[in-house]
Amino acid sequence: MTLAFVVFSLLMGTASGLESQLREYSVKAAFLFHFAKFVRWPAEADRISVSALTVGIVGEDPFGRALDDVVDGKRLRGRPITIKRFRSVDDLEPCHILFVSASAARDFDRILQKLGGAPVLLVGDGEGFAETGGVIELYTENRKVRFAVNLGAAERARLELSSELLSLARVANDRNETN
Amino acid sequence: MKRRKTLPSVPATLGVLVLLSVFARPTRCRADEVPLQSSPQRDLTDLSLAELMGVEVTSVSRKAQSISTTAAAVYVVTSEEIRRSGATHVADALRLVPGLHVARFDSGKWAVSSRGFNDVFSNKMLVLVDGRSVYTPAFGGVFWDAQDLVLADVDRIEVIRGPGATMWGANAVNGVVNIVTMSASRTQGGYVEAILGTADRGLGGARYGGRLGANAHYRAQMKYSDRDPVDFVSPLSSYGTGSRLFLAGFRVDWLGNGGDELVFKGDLQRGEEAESILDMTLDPPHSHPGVSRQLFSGGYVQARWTRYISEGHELALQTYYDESDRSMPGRFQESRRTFDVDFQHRFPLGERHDLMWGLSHRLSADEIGESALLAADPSRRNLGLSGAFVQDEIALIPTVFSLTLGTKLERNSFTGVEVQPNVRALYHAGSQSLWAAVSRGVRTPSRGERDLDIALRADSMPGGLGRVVEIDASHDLQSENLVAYELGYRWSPHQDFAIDLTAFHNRYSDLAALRTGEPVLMTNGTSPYIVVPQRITNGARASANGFELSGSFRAAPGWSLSGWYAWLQMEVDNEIDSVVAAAREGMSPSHQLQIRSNLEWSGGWELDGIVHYSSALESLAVSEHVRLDLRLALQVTPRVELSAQLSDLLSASHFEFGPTAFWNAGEVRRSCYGKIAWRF
Repeated sequence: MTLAFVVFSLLMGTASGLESQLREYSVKAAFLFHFAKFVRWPAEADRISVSALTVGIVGEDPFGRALDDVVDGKRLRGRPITIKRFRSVDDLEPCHILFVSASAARDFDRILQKLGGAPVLLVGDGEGFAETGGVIELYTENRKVRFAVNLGAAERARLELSSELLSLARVANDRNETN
Repeated sequence: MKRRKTLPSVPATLGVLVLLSVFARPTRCRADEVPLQSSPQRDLTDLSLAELMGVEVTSVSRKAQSISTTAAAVYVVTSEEIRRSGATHVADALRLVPGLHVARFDSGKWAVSSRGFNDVFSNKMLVLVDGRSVYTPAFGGVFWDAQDLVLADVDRIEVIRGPGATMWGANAVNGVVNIVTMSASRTQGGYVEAILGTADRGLGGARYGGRLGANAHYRAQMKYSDRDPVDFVSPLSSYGTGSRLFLAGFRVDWLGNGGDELVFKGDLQRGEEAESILDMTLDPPHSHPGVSRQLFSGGYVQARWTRYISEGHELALQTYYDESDRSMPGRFQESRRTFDVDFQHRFPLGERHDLMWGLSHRLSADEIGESALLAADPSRRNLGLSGAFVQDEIALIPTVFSLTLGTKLERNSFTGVEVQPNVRALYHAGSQSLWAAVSRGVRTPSRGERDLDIALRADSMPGGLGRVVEIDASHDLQSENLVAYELGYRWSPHQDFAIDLTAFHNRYSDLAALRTGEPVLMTNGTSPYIVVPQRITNGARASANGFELSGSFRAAPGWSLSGWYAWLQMEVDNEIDSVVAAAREGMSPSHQLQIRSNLEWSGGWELDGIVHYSSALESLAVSEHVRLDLRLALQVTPRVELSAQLSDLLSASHFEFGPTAFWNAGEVRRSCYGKIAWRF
């Protein structure tokens, strides 16, 4: 037992120099903010909202306060960012960015139906989200957050993803490729 | 009984490694890594996207969320916990589960149970791998040697202590273990691991995953292991004391567009292990310790179709075919073929009801060979098991209070229809939840108890006459019963802290007990000997009380602590034989305490430790024991991880379990191994 104690107390001394490890969803919230910076919406996106950039969450909200903390007091292209939460797919309205929680992701076809072809940036972290038709899928690899992009889905949503974003992304396969 | 309490001298290598890791600082960071000041106020949005991708995250919240609304004593072992425990066999990964008693018996056997009645064939726990039952009807229990897996492919292990939820059925009396592997889409690319050590002498595993067209992924995996973790107190044999296991398997996942999912998987396993037995002869001294071997081979194919219709509305149909052959030369030989079909439907009814129902049918056909020590009557049998279940989860006050009513009906070849109802209630408020359950569980008699005549042991009576103790087939053995009363409380006030407390009161009736009959004089032609016949009857009752307290806590950035304490108090009342009753009380520890520490720091280093205290198993002459395992790992490149594991540092060797009907336990030795894992 003394061996264990000695080892642990040696390492305790280095605690202040350790890399801080943050909650997964604080990091993912920051990713959403960056996606908003690097994506261009078509002119018709003004029908979603002119006064603000809307970020929606459908299904069970995993962010807690993390997303509110990230958008608080910030502006993008002169507009504030507002958050909307939809408990079920039935209540869904189009947003600029829609985060689809794992529980709602199974209803993907109905989500697309509800959005009615609006140019929404669909982001999710469920397995296979990009392949199913989501635009960006967040996943963790080696304890770090990464993202994969479905180019076909981005095209169908008439979204323009900047080259800076694409250079950091993994390209996911598109199940709904027409050619 | 040997008691080893001396601390080992700190191995020089361990000391050097620890010092190096503490004082060494990488002179340059890896390109994608960002050293951050440990200031919690730092705004992540100040980081560039590339920098953000270098931040390390740990996901504790998702797991806690998913079990907070379950009205059962559930624990989920994550793949990350498995990796950091250093376990090389799935049975060892179960040591992490609060309240589970996991004892290594020899190189291929473990005794695993929850809440008492542990044994090498612990017949009160149901174990499944991806929904396929691996509980053998021959002896009622699990042959853990045939359940090895490439652990990197295991997504999680869900363990429910107490009578399993309605869905699982008979023999899930004290718990259910469901080992869930990752879908093929999550195990893409290549993975190779190699281990060299003193107990895990050589182990190699490999897996490769790829795509099959637009909608499907596959993976193929194999693993070979040569293990020798125990010492036998018996003469050496040409078989040594170790085991060699080999497995090869595949999995295909297909995802349709309309919410359909198809999983197709299969596996081949073969192996052999040395075991310590009592060799019996009719000549004096009639028995002497020896080493024999057990060989097995088998495989299965399994398919599951799931259709997601909408949230809370899904259908699943599963089928599998399993073949296995197992032999202990000169003593036991069994061939078994199993076919199983299982259907489940879940749907919401109105605003408040979450209904689930299912039907299942299993056919298990076997042939058991006759030997000098064992005979089955009949030697061939087809065991049928049909079941139906229904369960309704009623949200009486949505998201606050729910009541679950369920029952399972099963019909088996031995005892006919068994009914297992249960009632559960859950109250959930903010960061706390409280649940209670009353359930009935049933343990059906095994083929071994009903149909097998087995010579257990032989010795000399005073005067030189040989005596053989034999269990006779107990053709009318009935099921064992359990009524369990459980209570649980969970509290997670903060993202960095969670505790879980469960308490139970179990009342067992009609427990299998040995009744000794009148000795009979037999003759082997030339020499007479005495046979002491024993029969198994439903003659015992028992009650068990206990609780399990577990918690996890992030002490500092990069350092998390978790642990659990389990208390068990059992009273077995054997109307026939009080000595046997006391023995069964003493086969599970009254106290277990485990503390785990997981530490990681910059440069990709990890240091993990597990301290585990287990109180004595009095009836097996196993003394109390403290076990310390340490693991040091380094992610040398994003694709390669090196690790070193030191197990059981505090004692050179000790028994974790004692002799059972057929075998003697081996003493588990202190051991170490080095491992390399490479992804490409």
